[in-house]
Amino acid sequence: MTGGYHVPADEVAGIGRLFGDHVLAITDQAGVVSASTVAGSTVGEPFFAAGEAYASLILRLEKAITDYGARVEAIATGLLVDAGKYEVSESDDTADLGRL
Amino acid sequence: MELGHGRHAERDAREIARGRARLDEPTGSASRSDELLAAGAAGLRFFDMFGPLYSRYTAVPFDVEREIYRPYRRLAGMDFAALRRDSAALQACGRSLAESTGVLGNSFAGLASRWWGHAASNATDHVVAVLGIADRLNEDTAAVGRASGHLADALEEVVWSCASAALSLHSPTCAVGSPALVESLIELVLHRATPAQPIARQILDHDFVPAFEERLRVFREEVVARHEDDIHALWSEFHEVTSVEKVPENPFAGVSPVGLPTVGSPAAELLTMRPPAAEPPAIRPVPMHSLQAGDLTGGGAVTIHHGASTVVAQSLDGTGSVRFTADDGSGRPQEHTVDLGADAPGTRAQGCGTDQFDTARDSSVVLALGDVTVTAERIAGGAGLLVTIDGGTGEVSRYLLDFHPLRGMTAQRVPDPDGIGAALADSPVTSRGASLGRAGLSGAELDEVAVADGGAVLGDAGPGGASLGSVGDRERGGDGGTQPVQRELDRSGEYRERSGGGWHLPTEFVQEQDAREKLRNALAEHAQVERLIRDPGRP
Repeated sequence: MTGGYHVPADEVAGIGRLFGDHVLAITDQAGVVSASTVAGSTVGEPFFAAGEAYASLILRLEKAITDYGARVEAIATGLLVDAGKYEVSESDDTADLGRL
Repeated sequence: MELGHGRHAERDAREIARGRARLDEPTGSASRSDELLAAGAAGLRFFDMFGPLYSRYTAVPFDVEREIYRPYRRLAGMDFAALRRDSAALQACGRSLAESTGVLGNSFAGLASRWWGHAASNATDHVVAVLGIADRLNEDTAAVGRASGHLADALEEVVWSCASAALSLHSPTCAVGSPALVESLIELVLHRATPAQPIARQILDHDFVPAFEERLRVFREEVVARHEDDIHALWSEFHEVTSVEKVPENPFAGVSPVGLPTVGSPAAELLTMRPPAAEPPAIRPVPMHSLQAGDLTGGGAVTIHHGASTVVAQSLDGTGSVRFTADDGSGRPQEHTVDLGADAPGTRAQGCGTDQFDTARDSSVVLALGDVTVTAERIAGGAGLLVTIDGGTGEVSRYLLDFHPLRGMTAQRVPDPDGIGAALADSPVTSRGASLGRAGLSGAELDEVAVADGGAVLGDAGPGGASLGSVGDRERGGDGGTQPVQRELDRSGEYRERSGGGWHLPTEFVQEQDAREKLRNALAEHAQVERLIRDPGRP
């Protein structure tokens, strides 16, 4: 059943599940990044500030990757929820089409 | 027991040889700077041997630890291996993220190419925004990884150079001879008043002291300071390329954290004069019975059905001339040709029907079709028509008809005053497939996209296909020599490109924003006119 959207609700749900399947793969990468040991104390005393800036950069990447994972998870959830709404609304749309 | 000078020389020679052997190993062999510095430290034995003699003769305090070894150790403590681990991990991370992003982008592109309506637009805009930013994040992560690897190698080479320079300072003699000879000369000068004393003083003053001081200068300037400066420069270069400022603190700040973007806009508030609408449902089904497909060839057409009445707008020649036909079902259609070009002197009619479009720029025409009244107004400042159909029963429908040289006619129903913001937020300016292609999502570029939203042609099809994926191509450097384009969010959350040293909005964003701005301005102006008509005395 395709309703008025040219895609079946289960296809939307399938894409939602696909997004959900990638969440862990993405958030795992944040853990990989956070394993960095480079910091001010590991780059030589005169370059302490540079090492700390490096650590900030790594932390920023880690947060961004974590955020990316959260966004993908939200998309997955949204698509799954909306696929359910589509199934409910398809009958209404069929009624709309019938009034044309 | 103190070794004799001969034993010292032998021991130093062995350590020098070991140091040279260590420093002959290729770049990448050292995990820490300490390893290289230890190999070069044998060269500093020169100062151990001659420093005390220099101090004794000149009466200048000389602490070898403070003057030599402490500065030399300033370059210690660098963990090259940690940087190399980061390099490998970050590059692998970037590849993994790019793989996920590519799979998600391609999969969603397949869905988006067949999914249309407001819900699809909202969802696609959101997903494209997230994956587009993710693309940049993936590249940034991998780029930092590559830069970390280069930095580790460069730092190691600088420390190697420092250690090699230190090793080269070694010498068993200082101008006049061995430490034993120098010691004898100093003894002669300080304690024996003999005819040889002036000669010994001359040798020490003119040979030994200058030679020692020159080597000390070389150590301070060429061995320590220069290499420390080099390392500072390397770190500066690293941060210049991959600085924190270039990786936004929250790259997804411009994208709604959950679900789909909100649609409230200042223009919508102006039109509705109501508080901004609450965040809409994630994906809303949109009735599609108002617009039906017309003849999509010859520039495209849209057909609007309203009860028994039909209004058809069809692009004729790709220049903005539109045939506008209205039929109340009586079989006596009224037909007009309208020029929507931005430079047109005004809406002009070449009609064969009873009603004519006025030639004034912002005028409107009213077509009476039995009980149905059709009003077509040229949108000031925009290449489009606002069509209002009044069925005579109080039911009024409004449609935006827009003409684009590449897309042809596009149409968007204006649901009602409350929904104008939503309609504008998702106006059919760019196709979803085209946006995905532009975002460079792992080859998800579409040569031609013609998505019919109830008959409205939304795609960047036809000749416009040449522009699809242009940003992605440029980002990969494969666009016939065009300069690389970098993309990132600025501090205000705007997504920007950078090329040629200046920041600017991505091309497709500019086009989209321009088009939307035109529509917003036009509708705001229209609403203002309506208010003036309703209440002429109100400013």
